[in-house]
Amino acid sequence: MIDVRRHQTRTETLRFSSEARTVKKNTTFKEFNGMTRTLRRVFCVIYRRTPLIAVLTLAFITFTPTLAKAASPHGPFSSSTDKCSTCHRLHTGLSHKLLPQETSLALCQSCHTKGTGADTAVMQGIYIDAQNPDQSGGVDNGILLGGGFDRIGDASETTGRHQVGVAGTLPGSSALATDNPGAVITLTCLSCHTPHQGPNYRILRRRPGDVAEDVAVQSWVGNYEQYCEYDFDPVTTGVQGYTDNYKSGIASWCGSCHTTYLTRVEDSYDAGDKYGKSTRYRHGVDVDLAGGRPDAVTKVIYQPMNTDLPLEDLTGNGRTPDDELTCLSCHRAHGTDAQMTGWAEFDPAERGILPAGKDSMLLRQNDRTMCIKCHRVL
Amino acid sequence: MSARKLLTLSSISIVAVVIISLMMTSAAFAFSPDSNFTGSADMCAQCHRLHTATYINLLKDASAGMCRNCHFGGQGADTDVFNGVYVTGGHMTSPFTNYPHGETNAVLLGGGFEHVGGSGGLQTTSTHSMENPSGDVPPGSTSKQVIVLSCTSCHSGHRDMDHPDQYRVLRVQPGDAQSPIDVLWNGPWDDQNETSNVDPNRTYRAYTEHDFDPATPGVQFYTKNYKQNISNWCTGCHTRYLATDDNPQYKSDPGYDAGDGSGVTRKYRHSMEIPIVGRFENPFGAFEDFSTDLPLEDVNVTANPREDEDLLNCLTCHRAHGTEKTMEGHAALPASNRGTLPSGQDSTLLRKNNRGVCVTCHKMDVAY
Repeated sequence: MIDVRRHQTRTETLRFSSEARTVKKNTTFKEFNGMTRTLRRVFCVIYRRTPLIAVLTLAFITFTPTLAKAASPHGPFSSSTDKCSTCHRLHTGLSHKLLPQETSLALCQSCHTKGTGADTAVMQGIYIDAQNPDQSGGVDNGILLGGGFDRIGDASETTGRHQVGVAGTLPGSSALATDNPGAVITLTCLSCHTPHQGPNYRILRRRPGDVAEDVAVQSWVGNYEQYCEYDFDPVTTGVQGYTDNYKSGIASWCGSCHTTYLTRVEDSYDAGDKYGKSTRYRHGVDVDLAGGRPDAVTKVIYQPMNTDLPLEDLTGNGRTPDDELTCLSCHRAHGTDAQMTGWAEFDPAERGILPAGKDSMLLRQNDRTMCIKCHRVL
Repeated sequence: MSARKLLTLSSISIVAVVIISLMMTSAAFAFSPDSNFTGSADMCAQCHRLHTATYINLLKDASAGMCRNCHFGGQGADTDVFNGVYVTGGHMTSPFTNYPHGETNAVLLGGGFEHVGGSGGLQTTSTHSMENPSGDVPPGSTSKQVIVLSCTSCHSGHRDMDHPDQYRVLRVQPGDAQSPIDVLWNGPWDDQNETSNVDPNRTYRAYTEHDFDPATPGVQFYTKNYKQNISNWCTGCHTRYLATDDNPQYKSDPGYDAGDGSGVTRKYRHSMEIPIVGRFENPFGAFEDFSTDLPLEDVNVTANPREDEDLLNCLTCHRAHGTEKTMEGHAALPASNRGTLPSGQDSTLLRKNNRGVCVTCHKMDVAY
């Protein structure tokens, strides 16, 4: 009797081996960068060892069930996908959408808590590379680019976070609620992320805040890559890992909820502070660093700025002055452990709808360090 | 010759005639013994022995073994339910004509208990357990009654004279059902011409699986057989699987213990007996029509093969007898969430590998 499955596997292996030889010859750095970490290591073996060893190794990795098991449940999905059952129970769901947990938050936490399933332990703000060896989205034990909701690097507690599961007023959302400080919403993970892949980087929702049109967030890398913070200070060239991840659109995306934050001058609105409804001015976003800062001597000639904060790289040419400032240049998406002291603490009278005075507003660094990262006013 | 000897010889002759008649019956009139009884029914002897039975109900054999006598290896029935294949060579000759209700050597719609696609096919990875001595509690059962399943848990050995149209000779009142549940089908068919009596151009193939992808019209046989109520019938045992908030019986109760560690809680489940209508927005923002190549109930049978009004039902995703499909990765339920369900690798009778049945309708397998 012919074992059909074994026969098919062997056939696929043979086909794969010929493809592997082709890949070896034609692979570009971008393709290489798009591979999982494990595959990258194996790829290096291909160059050094005989083609037979390389092919066998690739085939082994490809068809090893353990690795297949570890793939992200968020997609992509095949016609025989195994991933639906990660998050859905067709007959015994405990909440809407047939989820096996009573809330979507609990479901997300069941994987994205350290040691449970996902590499990205967003509650602890740390990347665990060993969790899913087929998905190399960052360095083991590295701090997540978006920070964490409870801790950063599974160490210090957060001082500011996007409040999930708690009703609150959305800063800068006057367009969503006129003549008052903003819409009151209860954030969930699904307010920002779609669990079923999609066109946006980081499986970000196409229409956050239920805006009428899709907001595209593009990246230079695969959806499940570049999760960790790196030091990409221009001075330390060669360590510029994540400048390549965000390409465009993230500020517009954030602005779908924080509607007034995308323009420098907006019609007057109530920001929830002591000034009530008045015209507001704000720092530009989606602006490149080429315009720069005043020359230290002439005070007139503007020099291109540089920074070690994350920027959008529109052209994919690495860290250059045409990179653009975005919301994520200064803020972490999930939570931060940055400390606010002295002047950096909001005057309670000016705080309005914003959280407590010690709240670090998701800023990446202590106090207002982000400002001088570009403006160099020391 | 004494009268006593004469009587003895007469008795022997009568017995011989009966035996020969039975043998001839097997050969010439061996259409389904499960139904089509006539005033001079010859079929009783297929299963029963009036004086020499070895099992209750005067059966020749225990239930599954009894059924196996015919429904295995082409020994009698066309439907080799143990090997999950339709074998025309073994099919029973009817008094009408030679009418196959399936495609020869095709996989049975309900799969098989040991193999799928014949004795040389793949072994099953899950089945409705048969004659497990310790019994099983059907998942979703409210009563938690332990059932030792046998063929006759689901099928009646005889067509119920009060429900002669019960499809697949399914029991009229299965499991915990409180009243009869009629499973409607779209027959009877024109057996003489081997065609649908609704659409003469359409051949009736009720027993076997066919590709009836809407994209390939003309190969759409078995959408016609089930009409309505099969999901209600399944919930005769899996009582909770049709419960909805609309049902007063379940609206205010605290739910039930599914054995998955969540205790007595209200459960949410995929709707059944709903039409495959409308459009949905896929993750990439494109709108698509719901469609599927899985079997549906055809409520209002017309010449059109697959219509929006066709209903999703239990058999859309599950095979009734057993499946050879495999579960890997996330589809192998984790032990912590498995509850009373079988082992992690169990394929829970699903028609497609992993959760292929989901994306067949929900179209998540779009390019990325």
